[in-house]
Amino acid sequence: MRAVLPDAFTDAFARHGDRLAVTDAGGSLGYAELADRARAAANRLARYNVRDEPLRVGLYATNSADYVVGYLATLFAGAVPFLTDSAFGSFELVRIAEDCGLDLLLHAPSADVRAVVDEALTDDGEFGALAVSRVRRFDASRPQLLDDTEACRFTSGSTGRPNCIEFSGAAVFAAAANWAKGTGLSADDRIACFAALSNGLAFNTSLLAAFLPGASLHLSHGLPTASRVVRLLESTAATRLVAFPALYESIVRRAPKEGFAAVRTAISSGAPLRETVREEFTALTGVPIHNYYGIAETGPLTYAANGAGSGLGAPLPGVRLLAEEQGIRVKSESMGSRYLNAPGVFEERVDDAGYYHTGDQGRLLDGTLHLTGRTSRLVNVGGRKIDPIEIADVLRAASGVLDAAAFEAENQHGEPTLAAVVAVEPGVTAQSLRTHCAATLPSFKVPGILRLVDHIPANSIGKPSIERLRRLLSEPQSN
Amino acid sequence: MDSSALRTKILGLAIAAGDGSVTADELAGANYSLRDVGYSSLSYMRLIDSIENEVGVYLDPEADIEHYETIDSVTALVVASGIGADA
Repeated sequence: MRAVLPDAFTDAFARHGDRLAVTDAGGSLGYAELADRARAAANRLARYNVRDEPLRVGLYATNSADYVVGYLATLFAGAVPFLTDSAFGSFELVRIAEDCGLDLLLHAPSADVRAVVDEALTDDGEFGALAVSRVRRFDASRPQLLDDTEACRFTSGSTGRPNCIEFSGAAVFAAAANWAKGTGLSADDRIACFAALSNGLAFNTSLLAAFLPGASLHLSHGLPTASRVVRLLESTAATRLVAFPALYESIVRRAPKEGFAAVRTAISSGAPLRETVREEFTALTGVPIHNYYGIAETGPLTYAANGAGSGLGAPLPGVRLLAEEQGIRVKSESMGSRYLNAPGVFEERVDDAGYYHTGDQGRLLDGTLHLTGRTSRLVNVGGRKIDPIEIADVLRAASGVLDAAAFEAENQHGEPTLAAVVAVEPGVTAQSLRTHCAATLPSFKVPGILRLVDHIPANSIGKPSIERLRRLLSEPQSN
Repeated sequence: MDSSALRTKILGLAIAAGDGSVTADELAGANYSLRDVGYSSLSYMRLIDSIENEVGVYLDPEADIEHYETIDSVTALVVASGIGADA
């Protein structure tokens, strides 16, 4: 089966060769330079493969031009990229590598990736500032990929492990092409992307989507504080801003007077954006914030073209969306195929007509989607989804813990955060529990609010009462 | 503002920027380590924004990442910037 993505990128590079493709804090690459670097790195990657099946390459790094080179090189080498959240710790990374049978990791040299230590992989700088490590021996078994899988990304699983979504090349291409068409991306656009490329927000809106029309991609990593954002916008004259709600909150807090002269479009997704923040941002900068609604498993689904109001916009090209009593169901050209490491789980969410059950509740008003709730138990903190069951299980395993419940609560800033109420024996402290959590969980999964009690309040059938737990958080901590 | 007053101010801003369960006592018990009291990336963003607003300094969390571990190292970073402390 002929791969779709290498041809799509090759075609884009041929059409836009002399234009600027990507920049980061360290420099820039034109389309032709990016193609040359990616092909050189692909040749190097191909030499690392000693088996008659595609290499599986985990990209475990923050945003950079080298990251883009690594992603393209993986595709050009006939390998499969696994875009992995760089916020994951080594514990989670090792589980992913084992679950998915990753061969190699592309990573920052300082990252703890538990390489197979008896083999040194050499390169001549084809991967820039990134290093390559082998994380698996070739004689180990692993789940088979589907024949048409060309890229994999991860989403929060309900089993305590991230689920690995397989995407066909056609699905990745459709997500990018339909996004570019549906949002009016053009060669004149300069996209400032503050979301990690491993996340659907950036992957679908800013990678292939940027390169298809010949736009340029300007990358940043780390905390997107307002001051850093303004500096990047000013230095790149970006026309489009792609970010999670936290960035817009920061802009409103800092209220910068300048920096948005060239920005025409701001895009927010990943978590609900507060209406007051949307209004204040636009009043401050003159730039409308466009919501979009997307699901990791399905790709982008809607886009609010006019950027006004709290609606999530109309379905994008290639998307059919039903908002009915049983929740929002979608069928999209950009849909994933299945979970590589959780057989049957994805398939259970797809009905006989091919619609994926999102777990969200909502309604279409005049063709615009409005979310009204969700049936999923996942907690969304700043765009990252967390399974509270996983967190409670980790807490229960700590020494001196009698029981634990994790749930979503509002913090003192009115934002959703992960809270945990933990029944403990005398001597257990919040700090010791945080240390315990941080040993196995990435930092964003450590509860922001921890309350220690002598027993977990339960309802009449013995289950933790979330309402009573939330009320408990507003009471002073007793000693 | 001398560095002691600046430290007190930053301590107050750090508590206000947290998710709500961090207290001055807990910070003291953790040797004023923000990471040890579970400071999240969103909390760091709020803290940096509030320091920039209150003290008038630009902080780049990527360039000086090791300076964001504790109240004292954040205070030292602000002092080193030459703005915000009259020494």
